[in-house]
Amino acid sequence: MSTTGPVAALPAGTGRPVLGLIAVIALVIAGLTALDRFLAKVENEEVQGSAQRSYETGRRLLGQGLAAKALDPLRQAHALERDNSGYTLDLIGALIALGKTGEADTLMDDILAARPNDGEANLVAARLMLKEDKLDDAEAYYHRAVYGSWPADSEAHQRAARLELIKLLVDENARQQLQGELIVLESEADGDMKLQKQLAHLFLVADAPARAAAVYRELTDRNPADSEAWAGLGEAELEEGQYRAAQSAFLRASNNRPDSALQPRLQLLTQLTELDPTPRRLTSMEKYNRSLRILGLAKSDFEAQLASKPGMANPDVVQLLKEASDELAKDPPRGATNEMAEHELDLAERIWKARLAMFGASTSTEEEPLRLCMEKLLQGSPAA
Amino acid sequence: MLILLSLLIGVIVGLTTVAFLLLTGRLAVRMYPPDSAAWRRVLVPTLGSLFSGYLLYRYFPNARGSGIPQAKFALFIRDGYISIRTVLGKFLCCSISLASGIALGREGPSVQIGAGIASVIGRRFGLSPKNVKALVPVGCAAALAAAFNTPIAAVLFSLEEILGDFDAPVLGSIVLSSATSWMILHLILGDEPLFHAPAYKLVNPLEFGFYALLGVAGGLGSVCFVKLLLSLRLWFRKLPKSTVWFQPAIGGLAVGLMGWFIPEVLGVGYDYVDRVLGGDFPVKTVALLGPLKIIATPICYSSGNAGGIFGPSLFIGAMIGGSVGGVAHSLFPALTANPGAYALVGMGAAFAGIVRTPMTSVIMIFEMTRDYTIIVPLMIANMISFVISRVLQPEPIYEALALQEGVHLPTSESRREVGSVRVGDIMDRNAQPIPPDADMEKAKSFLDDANVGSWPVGVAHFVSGVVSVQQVDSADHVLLVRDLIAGQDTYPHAHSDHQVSYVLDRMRGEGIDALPVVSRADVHELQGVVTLARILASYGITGRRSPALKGKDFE
Repeated sequence: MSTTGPVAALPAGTGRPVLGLIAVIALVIAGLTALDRFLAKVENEEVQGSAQRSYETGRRLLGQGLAAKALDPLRQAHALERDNSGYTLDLIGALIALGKTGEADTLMDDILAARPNDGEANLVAARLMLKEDKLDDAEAYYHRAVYGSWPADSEAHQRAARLELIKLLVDENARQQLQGELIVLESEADGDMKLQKQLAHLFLVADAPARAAAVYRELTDRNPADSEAWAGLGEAELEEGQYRAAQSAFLRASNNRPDSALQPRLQLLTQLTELDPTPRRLTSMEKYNRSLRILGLAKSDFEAQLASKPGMANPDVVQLLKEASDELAKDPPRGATNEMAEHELDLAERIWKARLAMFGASTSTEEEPLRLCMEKLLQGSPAA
Repeated sequence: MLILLSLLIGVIVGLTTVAFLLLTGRLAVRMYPPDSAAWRRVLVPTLGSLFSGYLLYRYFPNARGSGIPQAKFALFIRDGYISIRTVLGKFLCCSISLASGIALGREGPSVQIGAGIASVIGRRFGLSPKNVKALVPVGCAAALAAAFNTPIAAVLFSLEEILGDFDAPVLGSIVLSSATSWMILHLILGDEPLFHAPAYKLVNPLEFGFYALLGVAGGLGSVCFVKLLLSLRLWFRKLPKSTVWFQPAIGGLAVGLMGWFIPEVLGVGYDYVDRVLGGDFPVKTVALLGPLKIIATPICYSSGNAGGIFGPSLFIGAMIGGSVGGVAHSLFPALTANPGAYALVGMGAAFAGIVRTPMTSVIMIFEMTRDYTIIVPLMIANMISFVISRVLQPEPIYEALALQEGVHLPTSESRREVGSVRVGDIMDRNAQPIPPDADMEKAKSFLDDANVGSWPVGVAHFVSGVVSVQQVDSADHVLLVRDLIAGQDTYPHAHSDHQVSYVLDRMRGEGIDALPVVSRADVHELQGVVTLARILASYGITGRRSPALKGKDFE
């Protein structure tokens, strides 16, 4: 290849006003540059304005739950301003809502490739993964969102992202991971009563009633008139098997805000406090009597279950029930001992375990006192 | 000088092309405000094409059409001459017609504008017609680089389609102007590809079958498009001359009526192509849009509107690809990629089939989308489409259009064929050189018998020089041939892979009519002799034949 090519230099002596020509060319370049810049500016303004209008329309429709109608304006906004990640993320949000995960995936890949640490992008990616039932990926993206960068008010955004992750963990019943997230959240919740209330409730869901109770206590200490917090504390104490404390908390809640919804809980606790054989303050006789009542309830419950599904009784079960009947048929002793009470409770536990093995846990409200008592006994929880 | 001119052309063409693109876009927005009434879609293209058609007829007759054939006319027929009036006319008329929604593209006109600017600059700098001609492809490349945002494809297009020669001596200038123009585009409009295609990949090797099928569909679609365009153009040309000024309005009205029902037919439709590439489209609509555009664009073009066919080719390809991909994906979702991937490949296939530049097409799609992963399917589909198009429509579209105008442009293929005659194909492998110890009388006798003006000197397959009749005639009779070549450190020669055009240039420069063909590894190793008579004979021209030379041994 020739570097000089076939073009010769300016012919000498042509008499052309070279300087004039150069000046004209310079003017043409300057004029074209000015024209281009003006047109580009006009275009940018028009395109951005149009994108903004489309985006606002899409957002409004999306806010009204009309994701299908929001899709076109959001697409338009995205097409006009591809660099605007806000437009893209809202478009992805609409696509997720409509189940168009394939297209959302493609857009998401692009945006994550460009901004891998963006908190908002990772949060939307987590939602997308959730929609696609990729729970492990969703969890990973939630973590990236929590620890990713947010342009403004990062604490609030990170907390919101963590709460979404917590919701996922609640739904998945992943209690251990949930407790981990809640402990981190607890350190951020100082002074935020709304968040603390939410947190305490979540501790309950995460099967951490002691932590829930601690948070509720903090809330009730700060605002003794907060009936919701008292009710929550009642639930936490109930979960812990602290029936007296729970009853007291529910009563405080009920006093602060007479609420018919609390009555069933109070009734349940009345039953439980009358049935619970574990308090230390009980005399041996009282403990024995409660043991017999529990044994009677366990036996009746098992017999009712067996009656509903005939043919399931086997010789061991029959023997167990006969043993219970014999115990219940005995004359009341003059002096009862702890050992006697423990014997009855042991028999009740064996019946309850056999019942659970054959029929599973009961969900009926009527059987709730028995169930709670048996669970407490089986866990070997300390006396109240 | 050439470097400076190439830079200058790159800058001015880049700025002009950007202005053209922006102006067309902004005007179009004003012609069709958001949520405008349907009647606009009929009225605006009709009036726009009527107005631009009148301007073309009355003031700018050379600005009609796409711009590619016109640039080639200038290059091959008019010594690179394109007037400033044509440049201005093309800019103005295309801005009007394209903004009004005519189903034509803006890239072809940009190429003519770029070529025109290069031509004007060359003439203003007082260059000779030959040198002005050399600048035309430089301007074309600069324009295409800015119009499509594809600097490499622009270089390839200038070489493959405009010049028809990948070894063109102005290659360096073409690259320079293309890069400069592209930089101007980026300075003003930023780094945005023309189309935004997600990163697609081959899902399963079986997909190659679907891509091959797409190549077939693209090829057939291309042939339909080209044949319809050529036959319609011929029909319009037969209409009375007095109707020429309003013929473009027929195209405007036709596309307007289509646009009344389906607005996507209007304009070049890149927005919709973008959506299709993203995989967001109903297959039925896409399947309808392809054929509609195949009809709309030929009508607009043939009726005499100013605008190109590059953009519509890409649109048609995307719709064909989207249709094939949509069907394939619905039948075999696990084996096939998103239909958007097929739309991407379809663009290349249609471009290769219609414009007949398969190399440019592959690189262009790659540059437009910056997606490398799809390149192998793209090459497969492109080549199939190209072959089908060449078989079913042997005459390439631009050459056929020129032919309708009565202009016989050299096709890139024919240029390659002419250029591909090599010395090795026609040289006489048995020819013997004149021995160095021969005297002048014997040498004279040999040259006379052979009817040549010069001949190599040497022994068997060793050549040491070349003697001419003039040297022999003017030499002292006592001398031997070796004395004549004693001072020759170098001697004219050719290699077997040289093109005959090079040999002819060499013969003219040296004033001889026979050259030794020597090895590239050893310049003294004689492989044969090529003579002017043999070159002429290879083109079927007989006359100065020298049968005695063939295989003649020197005694």
